[in-house]
This record gives sequence, structure tokens and C-alpha cells, in this order.
Amino acid sequence: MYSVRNTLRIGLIAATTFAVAAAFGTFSSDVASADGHHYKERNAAMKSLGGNMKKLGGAVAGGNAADAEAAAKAISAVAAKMPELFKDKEIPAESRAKPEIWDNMADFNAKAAAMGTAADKVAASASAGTLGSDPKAVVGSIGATCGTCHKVYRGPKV
Amino acid sequence: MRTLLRILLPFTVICMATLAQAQTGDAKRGEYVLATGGCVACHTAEKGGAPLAGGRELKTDFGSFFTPNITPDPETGIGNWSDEDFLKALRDGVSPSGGHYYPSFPYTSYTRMTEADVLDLKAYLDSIPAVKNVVPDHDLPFPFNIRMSMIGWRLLFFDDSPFEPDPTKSAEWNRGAYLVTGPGHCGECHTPRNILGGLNTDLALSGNKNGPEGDSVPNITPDPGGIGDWSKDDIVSALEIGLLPDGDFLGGAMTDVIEDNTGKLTPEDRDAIATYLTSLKPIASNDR
Repeated sequence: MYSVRNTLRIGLIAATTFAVAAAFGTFSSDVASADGHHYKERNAAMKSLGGNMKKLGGAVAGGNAADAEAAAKAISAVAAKMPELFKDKEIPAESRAKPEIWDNMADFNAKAAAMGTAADKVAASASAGTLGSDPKAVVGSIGATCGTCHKVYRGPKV
Repeated sequence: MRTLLRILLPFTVICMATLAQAQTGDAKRGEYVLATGGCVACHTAEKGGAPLAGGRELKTDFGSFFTPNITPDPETGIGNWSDEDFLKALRDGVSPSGGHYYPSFPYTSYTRMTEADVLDLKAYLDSIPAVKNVVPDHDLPFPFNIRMSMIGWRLLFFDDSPFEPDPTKSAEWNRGAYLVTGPGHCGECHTPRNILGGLNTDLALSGNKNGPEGDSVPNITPDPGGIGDWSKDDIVSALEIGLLPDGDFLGGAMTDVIEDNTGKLTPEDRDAIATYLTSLKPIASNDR
């Protein structure tokens, strides 16, 4: 009896946590600048880019154009938020952001915009059915813009 | 008739000799060797310098090095170099005038390159446009500014043994070992150095906290702190386009390496590197 109850309780806690996390995940980017947690949001945004790149590669390999389009659109949406996410200079110890970002904000934002353009192109091809089946080529077409920015504005792992 | 022969014979011999010299290396193959050696990244100035005309500043703990011009300009490049000069520079670290190079030039790895690869590379470099470009002198504090100090350094740290294929391993593994330890010179950044700048070969490829520009360079042995959970495909993707297993993309100095070196290799060569790296003994990341 106890075990069933415990299982239920754990299930309930997990579901609640998940719901809260999901809600927070959805809204956090919009309330970003208000509560001053820029670094955390920046970091989460960057991780979501990586996650969507993986999804994109998997979708292309599996021939799933709809998923590929969704992943590319998610990347484009993050690209659009980059100027806001990086507006304030915050470099906590765990951050890999280089101070050069805030010395060259226009260039940084241009590089973020290039990522958005590359992702839009992929989304358009996916929607038109002309994406092809080579995940490395598709992921690489956006990834090149990631590398260009990481080259100058991201430091090594801390 | 005899007189004519007597006049023509030496001329023919000279012509043949010239022809033979011009054909020692294969320039087309040499262009690929250039990619395996990643020469372009360091021998090209940042911000739009002419390719291979030198002038890039390499900031190290020992001072600032400025890479030389390796285009065939006779005055400011290597246009006057013979094949022997080039071999001596790449594999012995000694310039045509007898000076000892600083190990910022990775002759310590290039010493393992085959003679054929080095001569093909020379043939390619001879075929590119000559660019007149004088580069600044190295800016080094005492005692590193004394080139003679390199004689002692070489005695301590320069192992000039050639690459020896391991007959118990596959051809692919041996190709990977050659690329990684020879032309690819991966250890020059991924292996920690001692206080005098000598590579700590016991910790080969296990990462370097104090790499180029002071950046930390990751462990690429199959240790959990390195690439222990990477598949061969993961390694190939990282080398080809910079994609990491978690969807992240590489940055820093590795971006140049991917652009000028690993991204230009044949798929077979990238596979060979992955085969070699995954076969290495895992070494825990170190604090050096």
C-alpha cells in the first residue's frame, strides 16, 4: 500500500516539477531583463541552440522535414533574442563569454543575425522539400555561423 | 656532327638536371600536405593577410613570435631555398643560415613527416604567388631572445626520430598516428608543456591548461574528462565541421584548425584520426 502511495507521490511531484519547469522555460525568456538573471538565460538559450541543432541533424537523417523545419525555426527564434540576452555585460566565473562581446556589440549582433538568416534558409528549404538528406551539410550550414562567433567571443571551458 | 654533339650534350644534361630538380615534389599532392600540416592558419596574418605571407603574432608565455613569410618571394620569403634547405627546416628545425628555430614552429612534430610529403609541400609552396612581405622580428624577453639557448633546449626536448609505423596495427591506424603526431601536430597544443616549454609526452594529448593565447586546450584522449564517451563519428564531425556531440560548435583557435586543416582532409583521413584517437590510453585531465 505504502509503495503504491509513494509511487503516486513521486509521480505527482515529478509531474508538478515538470509543469513548473515547462512554464518557467516558456516564460523565463520574456521576463529575462526584469529579474537580472541574464547569464542563466543566456546559458539556457545557448544550450537550447545545441539541442535544436541535434534535433535538426536527427530530423534530416530521418527524412522528417516537419521536425527539421521546427528545429530551424527554434534556432532562428533564439537568434532574434540574442541582442536582448546579451544586452548587459555579465561575466560570472562560470561564464565562457569574452568581454570583447561588449566592446563589439554591433559585430556580435551581426553574427547572431547571420545565424538567424542561416536557420531561416534551412527552415524554408525544409518547408519546400529541398533540404536534402545530408545532416552534416544542413547542420553545418548553420553551424558555420556558430563557429564564427565562438571563435572570437567565447573562451575555453572553465 | 661531333662538334655539334659536343656543344649540345652539356646543354642537354643541364636541361635534364633542371627538369629533374623541378620535378622532385608533386605540387598537387603538396597542396593536400599543406592541409594536413595546417600551415595556413599560422603563416597568414589575421585580418586579411595574404595567404602564407606570414606576420601572424603568436603570443606565448615566452614572448611574441611573428610567423615568417613562406611564399616563394626570394627576398622576404623562401624563394631561394633548395629542397635540402626546406627538409632541414621542417625536420631538423634549422634555417638555411644555420640558425635554430624556436619550437613555436612545430618542427618537433614535422620531424616525423616523410621526405616525400615534405618535398611535395615544397613543390606546392614554389607554385603559389610570391608575396613581398617583411614580418616583424620576434619580441622575446631575455633569455629567450638568445637563439643559442635553443641548442640546449633541443638537447633536452627534441626527439628527431622519424615516424615508425606499427606493423601490429592496421594501415588506417598508422595513417591516423602519422597525421596526429606528424603533420597535424595536435600535441603541440593538446599536450601540456613543462616550465621550459618542452612537451610532457607522458601526458600526451591529455589537454593543456596553458595553450596558445593562454587559453586552455581540451583533453582528447578517451578519458571521461576527454573524449571517452565520443563515437568515431563524433570525432569525425568535430574535425569536419566543428560539431560537438551535444550540438555545440567549437570555437577559439580550433576554428582555424577546422578551416585550414581537419576540414580539408579526405573522409578517409578523418576516419584514420578517429581510429587512432579512440585507441589511445585514457589519461586523466591534468592541471598543467
